[in-house]
Amino acid sequence: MQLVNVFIKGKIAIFCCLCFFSSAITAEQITAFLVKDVQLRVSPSLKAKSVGLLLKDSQVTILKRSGGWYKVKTPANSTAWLSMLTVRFKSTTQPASQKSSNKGFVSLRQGHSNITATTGVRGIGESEIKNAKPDLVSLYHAEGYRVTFAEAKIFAKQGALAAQSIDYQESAHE
Amino acid sequence: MNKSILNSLMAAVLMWAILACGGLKVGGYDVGKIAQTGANVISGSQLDEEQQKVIGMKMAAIILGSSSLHKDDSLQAYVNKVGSWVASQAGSQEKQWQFMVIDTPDFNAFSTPGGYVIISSGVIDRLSSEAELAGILAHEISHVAQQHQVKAIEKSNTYSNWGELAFVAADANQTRRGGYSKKSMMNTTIAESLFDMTHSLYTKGLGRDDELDADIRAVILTARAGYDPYAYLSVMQLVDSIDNKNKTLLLATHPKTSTRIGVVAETIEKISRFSKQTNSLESRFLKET
Repeated sequence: MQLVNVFIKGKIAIFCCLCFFSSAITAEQITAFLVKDVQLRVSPSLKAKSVGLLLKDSQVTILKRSGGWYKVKTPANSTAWLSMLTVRFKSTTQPASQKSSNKGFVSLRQGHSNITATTGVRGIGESEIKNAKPDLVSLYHAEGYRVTFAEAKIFAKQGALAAQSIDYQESAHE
Repeated sequence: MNKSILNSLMAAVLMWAILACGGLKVGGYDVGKIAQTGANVISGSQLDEEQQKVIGMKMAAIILGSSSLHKDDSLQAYVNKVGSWVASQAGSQEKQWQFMVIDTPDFNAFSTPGGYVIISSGVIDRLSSEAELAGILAHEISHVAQQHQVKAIEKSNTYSNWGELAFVAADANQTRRGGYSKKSMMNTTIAESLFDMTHSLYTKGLGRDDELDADIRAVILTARAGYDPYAYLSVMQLVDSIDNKNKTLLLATHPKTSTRIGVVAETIEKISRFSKQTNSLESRFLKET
């Protein structure tokens, strides 16, 4: 597919991307390791002052995200910013909301998957789909949750979400 | 009488019977119209919207049957609000969309023709913001909007026979009355083919290009809806970190996560100058989930 190829062929240039988005969010406190040697910054910008070099494979704790940057706690217990794509998350098996060690935002999560309380709950695999009995009763029940676009617009406004005009073709072929 | 001749005769009688009942509606679907358009499928025409809806509805029911609909009404309502807002930015028709949360620890999301989107509670439990949820729903919405599954179905020739389409429509009436089963006598063959197709689509997955196309469109759609598109990149990194046993289907049905991360990152860079006012809404997400 042509559009896909446009992206695949080019080198990943996110490291040079200095675009910032208005919101900074707090991500779950995930342990990650560096995939390359990284210059740490005092703020989320390539133009920001460097506060040192952290070597590949060093472990950091992700504290929050702002645009394409993570604020991390370094092995020396200091905080600094680095580009999102310079880290890889450490492998995890449990949802964030069910990790007892997590503090802060994630500790507020209730969690919806009854993993720890119900031993033997199985996920969806090939056999589950192949042997499934169609559940039309639930499907019709779910129709009651439907939301009109007008209702969705009000919901978006409550969250200060504003629709933006971004043309797919133009942006894809830039 | 030779069995094949008998079958042909029965098919001819059935075709006459269906075409003779022009305007007959079964389960809200126009059987006559479907039979007519089904005839076009033989010559390479595409499934129309009504046919897509019928097939998608039944595929969604199969996926729901492989797990269970989550019982948290407020969670279902919240996901529908986020999903509908994102879908409204895709230039899609309002009546199409139905978002559902299933109760399973797996990390996966599905969509079926006609606008049914299903997300696992295992996904929601791992997210940190509404923008991340919007990104995942945007990926599924893009599959539907681009008719990726529909094209796969058409390519499979599963519904290349007009009579099958008519049966599917007629069967919809039976299913609405709760009488449907895989072994339903009249529709056993059709039901089996539908099961096989659903099994194939959702365990083997769509084409690699379709998945990457949905990733690109998900980034753009997320930003169009006013969410921070970097949230979708964060989701990709999260997918990369989840233990394989919790995403077996995801691994089997999607390109390598490292490839997806590269495509997503580059898309974000390309749209950055169009995407200035964005939000992540982590607080609302934590409150609602």
